[in-house]
Amino acid sequence: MIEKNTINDIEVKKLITTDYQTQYLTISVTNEVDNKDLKIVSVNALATALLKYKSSFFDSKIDFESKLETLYNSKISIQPVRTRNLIGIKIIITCINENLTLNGEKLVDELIKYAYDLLVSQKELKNEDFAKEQKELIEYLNEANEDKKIAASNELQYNFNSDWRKVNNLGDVKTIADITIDDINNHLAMLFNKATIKINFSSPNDITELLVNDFPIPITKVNHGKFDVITLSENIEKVTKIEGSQSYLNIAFPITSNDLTPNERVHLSMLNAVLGGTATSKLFTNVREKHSLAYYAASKMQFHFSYFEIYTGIEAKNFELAKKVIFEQISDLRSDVISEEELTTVKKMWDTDIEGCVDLHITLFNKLAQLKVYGFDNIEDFKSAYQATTIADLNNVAKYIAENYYLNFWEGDSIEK
Amino acid sequence: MKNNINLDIQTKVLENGLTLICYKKPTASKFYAIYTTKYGSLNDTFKYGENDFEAYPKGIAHFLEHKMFEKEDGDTFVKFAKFGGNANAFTSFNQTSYLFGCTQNFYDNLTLLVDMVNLPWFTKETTDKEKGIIEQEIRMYDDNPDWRGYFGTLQNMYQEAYLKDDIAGTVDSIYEIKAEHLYECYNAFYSPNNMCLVVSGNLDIDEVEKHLLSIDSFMDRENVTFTTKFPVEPEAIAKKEDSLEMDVNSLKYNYGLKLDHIFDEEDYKKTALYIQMFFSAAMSNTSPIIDKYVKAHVIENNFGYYFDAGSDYAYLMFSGNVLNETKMDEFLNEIFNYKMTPEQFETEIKKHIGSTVFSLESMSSVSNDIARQWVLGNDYLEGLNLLYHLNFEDYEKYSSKYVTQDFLTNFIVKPFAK
Repeated sequence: MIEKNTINDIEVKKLITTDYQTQYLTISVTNEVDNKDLKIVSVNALATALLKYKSSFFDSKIDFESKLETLYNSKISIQPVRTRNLIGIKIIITCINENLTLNGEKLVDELIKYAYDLLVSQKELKNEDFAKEQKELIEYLNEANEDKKIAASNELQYNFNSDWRKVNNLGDVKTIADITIDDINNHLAMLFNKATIKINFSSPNDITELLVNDFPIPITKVNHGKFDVITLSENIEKVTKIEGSQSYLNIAFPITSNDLTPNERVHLSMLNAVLGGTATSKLFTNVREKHSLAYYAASKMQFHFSYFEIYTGIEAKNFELAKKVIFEQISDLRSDVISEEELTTVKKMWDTDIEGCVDLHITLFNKLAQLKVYGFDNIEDFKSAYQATTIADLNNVAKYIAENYYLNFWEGDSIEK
Repeated sequence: MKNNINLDIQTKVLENGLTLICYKKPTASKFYAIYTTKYGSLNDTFKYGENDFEAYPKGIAHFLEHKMFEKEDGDTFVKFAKFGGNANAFTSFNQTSYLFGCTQNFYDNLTLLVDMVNLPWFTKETTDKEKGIIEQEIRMYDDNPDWRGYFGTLQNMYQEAYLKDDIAGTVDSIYEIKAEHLYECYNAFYSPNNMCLVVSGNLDIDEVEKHLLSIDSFMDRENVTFTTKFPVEPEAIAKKEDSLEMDVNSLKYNYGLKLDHIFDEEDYKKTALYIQMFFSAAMSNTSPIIDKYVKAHVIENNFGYYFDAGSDYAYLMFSGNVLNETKMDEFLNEIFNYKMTPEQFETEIKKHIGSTVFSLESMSSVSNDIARQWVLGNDYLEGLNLLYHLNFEDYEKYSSKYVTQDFLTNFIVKPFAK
């Protein structure tokens, strides 16, 4: 069972266990950014890309990784963290338990020393070749469009959302082009001068004290704001011709409330699972299996952006039929056509997911992080919430799915067969 | 170095010829099962007994995998879901596997898995219906530059072997597939003695066996004799370089090192490990060569390697984005001349052991590997333990022998010319 504490303002989640052969530790250092300022969000996108792909930071990262790899049978990864309103760095370490047994506190001491040195010594980028790297990073951001399945989803998000939200996945390329190295360093200073620290670990020994004492960065508390609700006064359909043999149909339906309770979020997610979240869903069964229109036809909740999305890859000439079949499934949701069997199936699939995640420490911690989206702090409360869900609950939240939609169709070449 | 690998794996060949492998993990809350046949995209030409060889349409093993879930009384996915079973399947070059994970109703799910695979149901209508779905799957991969780069590199390396053909076949080949073809292939390759079942969780192999024997469809299947024919593959690569223009923003180099000749070595498994260790060190984040060329804006920091081997083929690929093509020969020469010190070699071994032990935490990953090694005729635990029996002298000998540019090819995916 994961135990949660706050010590010296650092949030610690620990799992003391000998069930695993490896131990796992993450230290995340993050700070909130103003997610409604287009420039700041763009700076955030560029700064985190720099942290990940190149920059003077990279030298220390290599040094850090080499030292730890040499000392222990370890796997170390240092990753930037960028979400809609966060910047940060996350250090993830796994190593085999035997090292801890043999070396005792030495491992932890070394780890903390290197990690903390890294954090305090990297308050700014000193890269003289910034302009060149900036150009490459813009190319990198554009590369996100190379996997068309993902790119089509990004395109939907980009077009459907307004102003500042657009930069969350791709970054705003035009704004990034105007960013200077001073902008980046000011932004990083914000992270390294005050941050929210979260530590997760799974280990045979309790190493909390070693981790939380004398943290080298002053600590602050992040306070996420709420998103606006998007309203569409009419249906919008955008068709774009693309180079490619498949066509991509993505549809966004806004969620009409930004004040959903944790239970309502669970109910909406279950509604999504019935519609297009599993291999037994309405979309999979009808678009793929019954009409043979697609290899994948699914849906996902985008709670961060207050909409849910339907996505499928089809033959261009089948656009009208696919749209008709998809809207029939949406209509079923609005007309309370959900069976007890469909709901029970979702509950069983979620049981397998939730009960099985304890077999690996990383999946357990990741699952806990995912539950935050719903507003739950522990697995037991989340499980109780979905287990208690009724058909009436699903019918009730269907009202939050807006009537009007935004549709993006990337039309590839139709091929006669 | 102490051996950290301690797994409880038992194997039994059952009376119908099937190999049952049980990975017992008493602390696990999950159960996992993977039912595998030695049948992949490479096995499309075979004969029964003394009959003539027959070549079936490309992609038929993958097509058969798709069709196995559909039954006269409905979709098996739905039945698994009712028991909390999360089912899936995949086809590779040399195997087709059907699998599920669950936390409850293990034996109900296992019965479903066995019945699904042992009781095929193919009709003209259902076969024709699947063609549209698989066509879209093929088209999805056709639009994926990484997939195109991967198969382009295989086509550069292989002159005859079916490795050059996409596992799913082509849009044309799948439209040639008929229900009778599916039955003919099924009856050969799904013989119990050509299959293995790996189960994992808090399970006892004798209880699993007892349950299997109680399933009617399990004992009904008969073993048939068949012979598979493979093209003879020359040692040399097919071509040194080729390219493809696509709707991409960046230039991607996909290098392929054909290593089929490592099977000449008595200990080719160790040889393969030494070659992988070379590339793991030379192409890692901590490699001075990668650092140098990333900083010089020649390559992007996304180069990585991938190794694959069957029972008679082996290759290693490394790929990534290129910023300055004029410096790539220089980059390549430095990579191939990379020298590891004995200390770095020890570090590499530690890294490999660390990541192997970490991968052992995942029951599904262990079970999938056991199945894959069974298909290739290898002992899974023996393969893991090889890591503890490597030495620097052999590393130097084998890496210098096989890491050469003689069998190297490059497939470039580039943006459309403006």
